[in-house]
Amino acid sequence: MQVIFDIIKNTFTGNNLAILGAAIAVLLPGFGSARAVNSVARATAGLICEEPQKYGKSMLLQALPMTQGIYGMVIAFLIIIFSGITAGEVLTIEQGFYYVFASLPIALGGWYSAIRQGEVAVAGISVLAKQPDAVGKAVISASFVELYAILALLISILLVL
Amino acid sequence: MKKLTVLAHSSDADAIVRRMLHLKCVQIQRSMPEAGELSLERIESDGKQTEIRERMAHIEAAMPRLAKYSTRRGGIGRRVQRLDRAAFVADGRAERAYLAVERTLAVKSRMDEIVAEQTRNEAAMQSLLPWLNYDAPLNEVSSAHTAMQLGSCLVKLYNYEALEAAGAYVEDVSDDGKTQYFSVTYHKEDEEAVTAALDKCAFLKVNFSDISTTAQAAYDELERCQSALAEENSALIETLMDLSESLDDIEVLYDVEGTNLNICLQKQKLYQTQNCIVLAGWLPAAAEERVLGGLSAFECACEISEPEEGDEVPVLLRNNPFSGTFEWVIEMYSYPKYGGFDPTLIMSIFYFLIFGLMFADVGYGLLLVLACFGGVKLLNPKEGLKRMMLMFGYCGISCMIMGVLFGGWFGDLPVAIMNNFFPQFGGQAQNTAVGHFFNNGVFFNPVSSSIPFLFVALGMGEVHLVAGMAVNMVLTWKSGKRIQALCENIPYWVMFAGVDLMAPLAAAGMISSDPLAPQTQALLENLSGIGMYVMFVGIAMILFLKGIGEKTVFAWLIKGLGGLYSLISFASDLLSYSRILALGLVASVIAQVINMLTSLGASGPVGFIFMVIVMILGHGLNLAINLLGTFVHAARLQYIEFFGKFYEDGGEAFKPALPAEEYSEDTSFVLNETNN
Repeated sequence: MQVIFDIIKNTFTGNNLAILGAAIAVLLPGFGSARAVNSVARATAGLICEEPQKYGKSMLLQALPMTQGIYGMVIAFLIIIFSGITAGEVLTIEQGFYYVFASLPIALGGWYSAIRQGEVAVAGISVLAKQPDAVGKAVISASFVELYAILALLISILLVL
Repeated sequence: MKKLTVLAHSSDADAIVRRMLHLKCVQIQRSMPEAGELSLERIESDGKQTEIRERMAHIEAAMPRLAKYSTRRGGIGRRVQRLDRAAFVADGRAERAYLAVERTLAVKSRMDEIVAEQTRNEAAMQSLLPWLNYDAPLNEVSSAHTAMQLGSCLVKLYNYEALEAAGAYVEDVSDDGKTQYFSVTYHKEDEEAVTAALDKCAFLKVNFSDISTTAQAAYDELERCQSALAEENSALIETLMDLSESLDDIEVLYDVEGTNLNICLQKQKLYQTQNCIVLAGWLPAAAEERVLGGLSAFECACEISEPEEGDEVPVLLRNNPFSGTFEWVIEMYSYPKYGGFDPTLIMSIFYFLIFGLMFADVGYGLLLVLACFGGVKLLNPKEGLKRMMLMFGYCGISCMIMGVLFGGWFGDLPVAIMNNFFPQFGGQAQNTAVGHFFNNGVFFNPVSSSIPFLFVALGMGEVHLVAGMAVNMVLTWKSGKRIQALCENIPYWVMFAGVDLMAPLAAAGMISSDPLAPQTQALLENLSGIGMYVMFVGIAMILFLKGIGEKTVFAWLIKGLGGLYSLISFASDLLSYSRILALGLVASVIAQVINMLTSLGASGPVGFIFMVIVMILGHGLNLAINLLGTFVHAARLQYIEFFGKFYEDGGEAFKPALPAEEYSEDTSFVLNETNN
């Protein structure tokens, strides 16, 4: 019993919790972005079968939902630097949990907004297929969804700094 | 805008429409003029249009093939040719260019044939390869009493003995380790037994009935054929290289034909009687003389009049060179109603400021300025793209100004460099005077002082909204509703003034927890006290003045309460400007993270190269992400928050009929006009 208790105690250290926070921050928005980029890319594949010359224009729509993954990476990086764990600092469990919670806005906000932005971008691909001149407007519509990832990122930044 | 009606001989129709195209200031309209007793009918499209489209399709097909072999300098940044297209057509260059197009297409189709033939020959040669040792003509397969078959089977299924036993004479020709190629000769009497034995081997028969020579001879013949084809192909490539010298002319021809097509399309908007045509359209008032001058060469009756009520008049925006580049932001939303207020000037100023606040960084601003202004200079883009690039260039200037004010130089790059490369700072460069300036700018850094920056953002929002209301007030005043103009706006401003007076005290508490100097504290408290009264006066003014002009007390009261209720939407509009903080902060924090990543590997030459790569990639990515976000959100603040206060949209943009100028500009009409 004592052994198990020790394992738990040694696992849930403040430093490991901060690492967990960084991991959540980079993983969840990364999942969302990967899924969104995947669906936009598949829609694009259908389009370029017919009209390969539209690939250039579709790239922006494909790239839009990638940003959440980058935002997650930014927070993960800030947690790693500012928690001081790489500099050998020892955090308390409470401090560790602080970083886990601080990573939640971008983790969840980034994950969800990436997928939803991906849906708008997929719709944008069909705009590109039918009305190539209006694709700029489709890009703008998709980038509105991004605002919520930016807000989530902002709060995570303010909490970590 | 003025309305143009031209009545002319049918025979002049093409020439008049061509002249309109080259004037570049007439929008021909499909509108049935008042005909009176004339019987007017539309001009139907004729066979000419199909012919032009066909010629254009030919040119389009020929151009990429010629461009592939052309030795001309690369496409980006090449200036469009300026030449007299009338002379181009008259002196036969156009005809020669089209001949070149047709020759190119003929060469192209011959080259396609050659490729197909080469592939066929290649396949035939492959099928002959195993039979090269076989020295009899390949099509001699049977005689009166004997039959012969050529074919193959898998080596592991090949059974020489069984075939011999069945009465066949088997001759091995070759094997490639997997497949055995052989001939079987047998009496026709033994056919059944031999066939059964062959079936056991899974024999695949080959048929060379069309080859009357030996395999080797046929193979050599094909090889000769292949080299002849290759020679022909290289001769054709040389022909294409020669033809590609007329590529410039072919491009001009494409524009000539494009213009002809435009003329056909515009002509369909005209109406005709037996001998006359009627052209109706719009032109900017300033272009009146030009159009009259352009028409003077023709025998025609022409009238230029003011638009009448009920006309759907197109809208042309006219602004100074700076604001003019922002017109496409308006176009993306919706053009103002004809005769309505053109918000471009005032919007461009706010767009400029808000863009800079959202992306306050000298480094990124400088990149924008260099890329956009440099791009316009070097690449000579078309009008639409040029305006867009100039607009982003101006926005880059705004970013640089705000970057100096709020301390953004690719994030905190100068301080990061000082700390990493100059040990004398001991990692504390931000505390030196220079470091402090780079980090905090003239005012403060949004990253370390986000609350003050929030107040800056909201302050910007308040100015923007009040400007929108001011425009609304002026427009309402001009429309004659002077009392309404004052009562709808001034009460809100009084209230805002009150809130503004109260704000410093609240802000001081939020920004710093240190107590203020007693004198300042007292001053702020006094201001706040006055502000509270002013605010209540404002609220009372909204309640009582908003409904002025209503007939019943009830309606007056309801309108006043509605005015108070609308404060909620004001608050939400104002809070919407907090996105300035969000975008501004995100851009600088990501830049800082990139700088941190950069400094991780900064030791030795490999580290230095790594650092440079990370820096270029990272900052490039950050610029791309934030440029799009900033552009979109700066535009949104105009569309929703600002335009919501006054803008009447719904106009159709003025789109003059234009000649095709994809590759070349026509100077013939410009010269004619100056001569006139």
